[in-house]
Amino acid sequence: MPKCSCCGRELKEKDKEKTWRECRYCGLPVCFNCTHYLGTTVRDLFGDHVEVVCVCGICKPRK
Amino acid sequence: MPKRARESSTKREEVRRPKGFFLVRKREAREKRRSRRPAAIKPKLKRDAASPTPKSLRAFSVQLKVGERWMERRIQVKARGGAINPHSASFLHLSGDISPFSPKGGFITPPSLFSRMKIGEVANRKLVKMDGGKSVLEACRLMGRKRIGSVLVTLNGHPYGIFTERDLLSKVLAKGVDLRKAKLKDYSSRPLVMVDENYTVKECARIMSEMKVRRLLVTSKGKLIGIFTSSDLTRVLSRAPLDF
Repeated sequence: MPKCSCCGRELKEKDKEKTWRECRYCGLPVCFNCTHYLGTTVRDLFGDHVEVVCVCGICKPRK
Repeated sequence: MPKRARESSTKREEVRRPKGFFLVRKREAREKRRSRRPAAIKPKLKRDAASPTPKSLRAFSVQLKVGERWMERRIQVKARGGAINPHSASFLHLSGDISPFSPKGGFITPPSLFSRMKIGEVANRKLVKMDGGKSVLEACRLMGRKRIGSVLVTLNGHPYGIFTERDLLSKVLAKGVDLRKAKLKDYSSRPLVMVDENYTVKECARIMSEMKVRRLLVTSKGKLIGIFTSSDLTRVLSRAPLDF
């Protein structure tokens, strides 16, 4: 059974993307209470845009 | 012929019904049962051919009768090979915002479904686009005519930025720029903030508050499919029960 990488709460496999999500950077499961959202600049052929990604508390860069 | 047998045959003739009597009775009973049902469980299904959903999921726009008027709801259902029964429980579960069991045939979203509602299901798919070479005045006219607060600015058919009411106030009107001469691409907000369609409504609300934006562009596999604004969030929230 997966556990939240930040708070250690037990998560259900069937509730993926409903109550928890995988961190975009480290790939570890993180519950919705511990998620942080990060705007990342994506450069493509026709310009650049900001894509919002879900990260855990450990992977979130500090200001 | 014995007397008892003759009596029974006459009785049988009296009880005999006309042909199709029971069928008529059955039909009447069925119609009576149907009339007792609420009006909302008579949805008209219409296949949306232009939906960018994968094959496993089919997008439908369902028309529900709420009171006297028909309301259109866009939903996604899992295709199971055959025809989809709109009255089935799985359909209602997946559709999220339809509850024909309410006495008035309303569409209050249950709290459990509301928290799991994906942004791709509720986002506004009618994007209003405008070329970046056009003037700000034309954009203002379009926004006024369509009663919207923003226009997606494109360059050569590709999304470039977004021109909002705030841009008009802070970048154009406050600096005294001529609306006829000002080009849209010079005064639009960049870069665009995009989210994947699999994000839930609650997550998007959090993103909007954290990133201090009121508009999120929704993408599916890197392709722009819609826009989710703060007014859409209010619309979705208003469908939730008041004790939520």
